[in-house]
Order: sequence, then C-alpha cells, then structure tokens
Amino acid sequence: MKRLILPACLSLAIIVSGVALVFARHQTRILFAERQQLRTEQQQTTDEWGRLQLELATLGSLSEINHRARTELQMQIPDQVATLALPARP
Amino acid sequence: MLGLIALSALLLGWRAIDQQLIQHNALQQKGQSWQIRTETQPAYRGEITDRHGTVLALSTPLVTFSANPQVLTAQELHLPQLTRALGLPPGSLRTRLQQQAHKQYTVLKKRVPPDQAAHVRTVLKTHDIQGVHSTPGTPHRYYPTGEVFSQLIGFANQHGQEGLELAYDAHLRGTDGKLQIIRDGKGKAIQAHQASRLARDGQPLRLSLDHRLQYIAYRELKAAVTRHQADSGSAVLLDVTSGEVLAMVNQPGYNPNDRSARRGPSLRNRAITDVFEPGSTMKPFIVATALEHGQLDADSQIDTRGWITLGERRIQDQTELGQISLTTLLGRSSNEGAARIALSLDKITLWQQLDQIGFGRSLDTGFPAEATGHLPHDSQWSRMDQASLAFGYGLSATTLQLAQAYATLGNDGVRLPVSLLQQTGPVSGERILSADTARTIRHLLRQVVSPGGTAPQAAIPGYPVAGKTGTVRKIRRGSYSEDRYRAIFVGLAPLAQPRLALAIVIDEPNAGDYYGGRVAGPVFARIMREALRLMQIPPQPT
Repeated sequence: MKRLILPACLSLAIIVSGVALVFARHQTRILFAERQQLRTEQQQTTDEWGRLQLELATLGSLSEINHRARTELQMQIPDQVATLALPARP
Repeated sequence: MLGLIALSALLLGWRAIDQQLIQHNALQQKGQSWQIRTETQPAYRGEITDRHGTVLALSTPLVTFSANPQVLTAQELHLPQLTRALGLPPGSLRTRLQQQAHKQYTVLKKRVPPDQAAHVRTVLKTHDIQGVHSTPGTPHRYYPTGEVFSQLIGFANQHGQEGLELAYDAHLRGTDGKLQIIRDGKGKAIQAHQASRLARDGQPLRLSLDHRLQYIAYRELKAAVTRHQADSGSAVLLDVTSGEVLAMVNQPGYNPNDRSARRGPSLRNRAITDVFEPGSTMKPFIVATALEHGQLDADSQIDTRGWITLGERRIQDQTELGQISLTTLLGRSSNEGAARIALSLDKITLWQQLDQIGFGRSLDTGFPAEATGHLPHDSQWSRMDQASLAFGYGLSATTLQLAQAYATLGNDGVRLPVSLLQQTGPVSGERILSADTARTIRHLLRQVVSPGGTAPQAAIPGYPVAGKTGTVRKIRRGSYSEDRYRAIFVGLAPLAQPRLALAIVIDEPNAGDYYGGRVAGPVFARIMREALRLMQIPPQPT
C-alpha cells in the first residue's frame, strides 16, 4: 500500500497541472482579447486626437486669423499714440 | 484516492469522445475558419511642437478598412451607406463582396484619411454593421503650419528627409511592431504568437521657436522679398538671454504637405546653410576689439582724410567725413574710419577677438549642412585683407552666426550657444567682451537708427533700439559686382537691457533700392515691433 502513495500523488499532480494548463490558456486568450480591444481603443483615441489637432491647427491658422481679423472685423495694430502701457501687476 | 483518479480519467475520456466523435464537424468548421496572419503594427513618428506646444508636425495613420465578406454580405441593407462613407463608386462594394463571397478577408479601402475614417466608424456604429475592421496603415505626416516652418522642419516619409526631421530622425522615429495574430471567423483576434514584437512609438521634439513670432517673421520677410523683387532672404530672431532661436525664416518657401513641391532651392534653410560676407555689420566688432584692448575709448575721435591707399587699392567713403566720433563712424558707416581702426590693431589680437565672437566657428546646432563660414587666419592677412575685414569683406558668416554675434553684444559680452530646441535649465556661456564694451557699442549703435544714421527706417516707436546696416556687393565671376547687392540689418531691442536680437538678410533686391537701411531696416522694425509686443516687453522712454 505504501508503495502506491507516491505514484498516486504524482498522477493527481499531473491531472491538476493539466487542468491548470487548460485554465491558464483560457485566461491568456481572454486577457489577450481584452488587451487587443484596449489597444484598438487606444489607437482610435490617438487617431482621434491627431485628427482634432489637425482640425485645431487648420482653424487656428495664424494667417487665417490675421486675414479675418483685418477684413471681417476691421482690426488693426494700434499706433504708439493710441497705446497706453500699464505697470505690470505685482 | 484511487477512486478520484479513476473518476478523473473517466471524465477526460468522455470529453475526448465527445469532442472527437460527437462535436467533430462543428469544431472542425470553427477551427478551419481561424487564420494566422502576420500583422504590422505601425509605430507613430514623434510630433514636433513649438515652445508653447503648438503642433508643427504630426503623424496620424491613414486607415485601411477590411471586411469578412461572409459576414458583411448578410447585412445587405446597409451596404449603400457604407459604400458612400468609404467614397467608393455606388454598387462596387456589392459586386466585390459577391466576387469574394468564398473568402473571409477582403480589403475595402486603403489609405483613408483620419477625418473620413472617423465618419466611416460613425456609420458602422449607427447602423450596427458587423464584420468590418479598421486597421491603422502607414502613418502620414502632416505639417499644419505649411510653408512658414518649411525649411526648418523639413519633411519625412518613413524616415526624415530634410531639416530637423532629418537631424532628429533617430529620436522621432519609432520601431514598427510585428504580431502574428490568430483570428477567428469573425475577424476577432484570439491569440498572438510568442515571437511577436510590440510597436514602440517615436519621441516628441519641442523646439525653442515660437510659432507666432515665426509667422510674423515669415509674413514680413515674404512681403519684403516680393516688394523688392529679391532673389531670396532669411531672418533669425534670437532670445538674447538664453540663446534660443525664436524664429528662423527663409524665402523662397514651399508647402511641405505637397509632395511635388518638395524639391529645388526652396528647401534650403538659408539662415543656417548659406554664407555671405557680412559687410558693414562687422564694424561694431572692430570697434569693440579696439575698446576692449584699450586702443580707443568711447570718446575717441578718428581722423578720416578722405581715403587710405594700400598698394593699388583705395578705401574711401562716399562723402568725406573728416574728424569723426565713434558714434558717427558707426552711424554713417564709415569704411575708412573702420579700416583705420582695424589697421591700428595687432593682427593676432584682432583675429583672436573675431574668432571668439564666433566668426568661422561651428554653432553645433546639429542642423543638416550647417555652414561654419570662414575667417582667414591672421598669418594669411595682407594689409588690404586686414583693412577689408573692418567693413566685412574677406570673411563669411551665416545669418544665424551674425544674429548670435549681436546677441553677444546684447548679453553684455557673454556668448551663449544657440539652440533650436527649448532650453529647460540655465545656459552657461563664455565671456568674450567686458560688459562695459558691450554696453558702449550698443549705445553707439543707437545712432544708426536715428535721423541722419543709415537706417532711420529701422527705428521702432516707443522702444530705443540698436542696430547696424550692411550693403554688400555680391561676388560675380570672381570679382565684386557693380549692380548686385545684399541688404543686411542686424539689431537689438530694447536698448537698455536687450531681450531680442534680429538679423535680416535680403539677397539681390531688384526693384531699385538696395541699401541695407532701406531694404532690410523696415523689415527689422516690423518684426521687432510685433515681437516686443507679443513678448510683453513694455515700451520704454526714448
């Protein structure tokens, strides 16, 4: 009887590790799918950010602002007579 | 114990029979629909921003849309919307899906720009269309500021080709990832192979430049080059207290977003790569050397007799000035006066001082094809060479070097390294002139922009400034041309404690005017005035 204990324990360990392996593989797939999903989201967010940056740059283009300020709003740089320098706030 | 093992064996055995025999067909179908493909994960190139974080160069991918025809065909109802969103000819998508019905993967459209891709994704989401995937393809480089930064930033395809894109390529460039991905029938990624490599994005680059100042400098330089029908021009604005380049512009320019425009002389960042003889803008440094070595003091008078004869050559001013002060010498830009001072100096002393100021020395900006200019060694000087140096012939420098030399005068004689990248800590420089000498020269240079000086057009209302003109004959076929000039103005503001140094060079003005004061002077005034305002430097009593 005593001689059977060791092989029995080892067999059991093999079965347990086998099941654990299956479990681990399953977990890997779930986590990979999740990672992939997050990577896609990250990519889309980055791309969206890039797109918005470009949009901002287009709308905020200084030549465009300069042009519209001068033509549509009739703005101009005041000359020295019209300029009053205030002391800097402490 | 034995019972437990037997039970386990029994369970496993049943599971094997179940999978192999009973569910065989279903599982085989599922397995066959899986696919392994090697996919490239593109790395993003780092963005380039100005000192305030405004984007100057940005990579964002052109998107590839792909689909599984078997899944997509089933949703025929929404095909027209999708076709329209992708910008494909009507009906073409349906035909393609029919042709590829037996496949599980087909590319719908490649290289979709970011704004359109966003629209397609919205369509997919609102109609709940399944089986369409978007994968980021080759990143595309955008330059939102267009020609304003063109020569400085350059451009990149996969790798940097010109300008800072080339100089900092290793820093900006990332490493693409390679993934072996197993996907199921619906295109969902299930597993990645172990040998896969993840993408590593490039690093961002923050420049010292200010895009507002750059824009103003570009606008004014372009206007002046057009007005004077000049061949080319360049301008450099430096922060005197840190050595940072705040603006660096050139004409002609090009739009880096237009691939067909990316060639020819417009690509040259002339401010760094092109050298020229600095002409009369050298005079302050000759006077500074004489002051520094005790040959003259601020009140010295120079006796100009009308001309100096050296061998067969003669140095002469346009009008005879007689006994002149240093203020008049610089204000009226007397060649004879400057030559007399240069000839009175020891050759070695003069060479050492000019070398220290930076003439003929590399600026180590790291910019591709940066020119160092040339200052011949004193052992090679004839008397005529020594005299010519005084009014800036026989040596060469870039616009950036000239701006730096004046920035040193503005920084009370301490020469700071110039930088195209934003400086984060204090910058250490090298003292090459005493603070007294630098201040004296600055005050002498005030006369230049006064009525009666060579450049009253460079004066700025509300701010006392210092500056110097240069009108240089260009070399044509080995000798100095009689009708081709280069107009230069370099100056500092505000006078008492300079913050900004600005150098303007306009090459071959062809519309009549060619004097540095009349051509380059007004450009200096326009750019400097706006720069002082944007940097919140208050007007000062004149």
